[in-house]
Amino acid sequence: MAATHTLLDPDTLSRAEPLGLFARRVVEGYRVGEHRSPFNGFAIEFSQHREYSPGDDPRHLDWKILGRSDKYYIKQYEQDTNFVAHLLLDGSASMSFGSGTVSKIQYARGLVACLGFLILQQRDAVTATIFDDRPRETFQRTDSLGKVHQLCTQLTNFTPGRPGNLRACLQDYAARLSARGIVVVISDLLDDPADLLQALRRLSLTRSEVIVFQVLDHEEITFPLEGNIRFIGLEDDSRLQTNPADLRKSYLAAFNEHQHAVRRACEQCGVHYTLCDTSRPLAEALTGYLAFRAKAG
Amino acid sequence: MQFLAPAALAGLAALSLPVIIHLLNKLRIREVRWAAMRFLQTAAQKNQRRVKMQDLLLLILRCLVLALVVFAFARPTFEKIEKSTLVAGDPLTVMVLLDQSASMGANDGVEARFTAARDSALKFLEELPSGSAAGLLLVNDTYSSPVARPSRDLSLVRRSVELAKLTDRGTDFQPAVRAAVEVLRNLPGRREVHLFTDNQLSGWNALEAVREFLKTAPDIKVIIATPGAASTAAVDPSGNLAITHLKLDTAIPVAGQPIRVLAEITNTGDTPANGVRLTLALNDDAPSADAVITNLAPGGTRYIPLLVRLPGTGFHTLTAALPPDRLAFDNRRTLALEVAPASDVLVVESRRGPALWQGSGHFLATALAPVDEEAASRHYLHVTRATAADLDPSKLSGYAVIFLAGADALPLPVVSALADFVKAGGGLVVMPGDPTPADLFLDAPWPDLLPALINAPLEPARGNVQDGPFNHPLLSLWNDAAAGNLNALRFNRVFALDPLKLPEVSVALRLADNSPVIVERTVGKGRVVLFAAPPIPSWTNLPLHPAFVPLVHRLYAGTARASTLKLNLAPGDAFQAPVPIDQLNRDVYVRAPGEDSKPVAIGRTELVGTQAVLRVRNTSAAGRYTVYVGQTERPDFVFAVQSPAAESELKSAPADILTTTVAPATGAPVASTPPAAAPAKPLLTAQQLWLIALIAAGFLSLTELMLALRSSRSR
Repeated sequence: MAATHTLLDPDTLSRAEPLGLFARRVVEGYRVGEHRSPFNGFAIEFSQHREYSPGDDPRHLDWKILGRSDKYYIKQYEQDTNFVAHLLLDGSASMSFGSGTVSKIQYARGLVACLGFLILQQRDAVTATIFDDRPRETFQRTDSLGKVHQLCTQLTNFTPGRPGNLRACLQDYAARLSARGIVVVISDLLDDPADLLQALRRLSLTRSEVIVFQVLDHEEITFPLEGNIRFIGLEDDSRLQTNPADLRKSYLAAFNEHQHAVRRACEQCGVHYTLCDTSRPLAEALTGYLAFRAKAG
Repeated sequence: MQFLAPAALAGLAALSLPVIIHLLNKLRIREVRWAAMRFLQTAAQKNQRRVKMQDLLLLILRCLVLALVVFAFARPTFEKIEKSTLVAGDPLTVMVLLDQSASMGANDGVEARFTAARDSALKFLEELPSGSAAGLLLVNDTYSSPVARPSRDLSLVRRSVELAKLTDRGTDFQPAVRAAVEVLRNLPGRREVHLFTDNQLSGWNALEAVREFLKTAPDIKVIIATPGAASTAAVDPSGNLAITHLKLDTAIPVAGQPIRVLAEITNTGDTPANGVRLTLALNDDAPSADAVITNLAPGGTRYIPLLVRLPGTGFHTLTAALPPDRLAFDNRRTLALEVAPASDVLVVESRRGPALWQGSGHFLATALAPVDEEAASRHYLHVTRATAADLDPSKLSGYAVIFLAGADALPLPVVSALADFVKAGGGLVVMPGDPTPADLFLDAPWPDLLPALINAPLEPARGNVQDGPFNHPLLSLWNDAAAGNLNALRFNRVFALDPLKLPEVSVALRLADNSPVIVERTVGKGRVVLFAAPPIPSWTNLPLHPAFVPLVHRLYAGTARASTLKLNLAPGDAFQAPVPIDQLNRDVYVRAPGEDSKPVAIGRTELVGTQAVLRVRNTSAAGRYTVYVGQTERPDFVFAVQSPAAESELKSAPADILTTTVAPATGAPVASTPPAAAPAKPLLTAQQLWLIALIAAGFLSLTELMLALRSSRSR
């Protein structure tokens, strides 16, 4: 319960709840929900007729047409269903960086928890996976809001420490994805943008809707450091001693180029991209995206 | 290359500062675990080499800036500098002597010598090495001590120099040089005396004494700086005409009568003076007389007579003035005089008959008051004629002068009264004649009164008088040919005078055979003049000579009970005058020379013995002074201060007059002498290098700033 209180920010939830997270595309669910299902069947809203073929359930015959024209037609309906949201959280060592009170992983944990809560609250299903170079923690698929505490506990208990491999993990996850849904990738995306592009393409092939939240620390974005500093890599032991002021311009140039490549990769794959600065409140980033999504339909 | 302040080179240790700061920055490392190492490594690969080069360049630039600043403070010079000069790096104990005599007022049309000397002294004080001490003496015919002993508070000394003012006083370097050396004698360290002056030749009258004195302090250097002197000597378009003397040429100044004033004009410049107008003003009013000076050659002197009429009795001043030239103080000279009211004169004579003209003193009495009987009462001399028998000893003190013109033998009480009369300040003129007994003057108190022994009369071998010039003031009038001459004067008989060998005795006139005719003696406060003959034509043609009247009047003026007031003073002399006892402790106000000066209270009258007196001590400026006792409209006294005539002679002394280093501070050599090994040039060079080093440091600082800005932008 403590983990739930830590991760589920009431302010974030109260602001994001009215907006909800609706499937932008048709999702394949197994329960009646608020989202349109690709399966035509036996629900309320009529879709079309088709000719009867042997094996069809005779209960779906349109008896009125049969009475008028003596032809066998089967009635088909559009079925409202729920979706499954796949929350993929990058748990690599680079996510442990944080210059302020909140590290990137802490910020991402909150983001996953809030998204999970919102999705479960609207009676959709959620599954979550924390990965670095391979999936490390999996939160089993559930549509029970009561399981949100378990999700939070699992998120909190995970500690990043290994180098990541975003491309391999996402491609592997895409291969195992059985039904269309929403895939939410939460990462700092500090890997090679080319790898990211490949991974997103693979995910797009699953016909799932993909959303990317890039979580970055404010210092990584602006590089305001001063003085002589020895930088030590979080995912490897690389070291660099320098005066940041000497490199600021070049660093920011390289960083902005990387960001540009990331955005371009997302655009190429039709993926929603949102940059989350850990110095800004989570609620601002989340509600901003949800509002955009609601507006975009 | 030498450094004037080598101690400042210790500042090169500061060069280690940027290096230490650089190293400290390198050592003070913070560790940061960083996620986005990719971008850092990319940036580092791209910039690290350039950044290192720029850092190194900046470090070198900063070190260079510091080195140049230290270099500038060390005051480098390329030329070897004598250690004895003012610019060595060790602290110096120095006495600054600033000449404020009247000749320092000479200017070249732009700057006066005094201003140049003051500026030069200020510059010298500013450039003294740190830790130096300086004192200040102001030099004129004596000296004053604004900073009597060397003080490390150089701003005080500089302020005192700035406050120093030019005076109208003369020049005598000896007292100030002696005082400065005495002050430095017992002080430790390097000691020098710096004299900022025009090095006027007349200031070294006691040169040998100064040289001898300086030998007693061989380690104290005396350096003479002559800023501005050479330029004023070289640029001399108008020359310098000076009024070197102004005197009364009339024996007795009388109210309402024209009096003659002689102005001595000297051309001390290098060009002849022609057509220069000389004016004479009475009591600082508009000029009432003038004359034009023509063709006065350089170095020449001329006496210009001027006539002026005094309006009344009392104190007056006469101011002669010339047009402005390059030396202002000697273009004006003021003479103060007092016109006394009428005085009584007694002529004691013997008479051959009842008529006055039969008296032996008739010619004399007529010459004393050469007016008719009606005007005699208004004449400034009231002549009383009497015989020896008529004399009342108790009434003698009422006369200013008593003439014994061939008088009979005087009674003893009268002779005693005469002796008292002379000792109290009266004038006695003795002209023995026919009735004078041979032994008359042998008895006391005559020997104590007369300037010579009177022997029996004789006929001189040559009865004419000696040719001039005449040194005695009684006869100086006839040095001027325009006043006539004494060539026609003859003595047929004379008493053989044997002048006493006493310092107070002087012979005024001798005959061509060298026998004295007029002898003078000072007795007590009075004077006695002895003639060798009575004023009778049978003895001498003097009574008939045109010179007789002026001679008699000069005789009167020279022997009369003169006022003890000294009305014409030299600058610095104190004016002293007796005042009535009821004016004791009154405030004394003095209006000093100057157009807009106002009476200033200078003190009170004081008691000296039983006499109340007033004293005016501050008389540095030449001109007319009026003195008021209490708040009165009418001045009680007027006196004049006259600058010494020698100050007008601007000739400079040789530069090596003291056989010590001479430093023309402005780089200009002293006139008529080749420049000595002058430290001015190294000083100038040092200043130039100092400036160059600072300018270079500034330029490098700017470069460093630009480079730092540019590199921070490029990174």
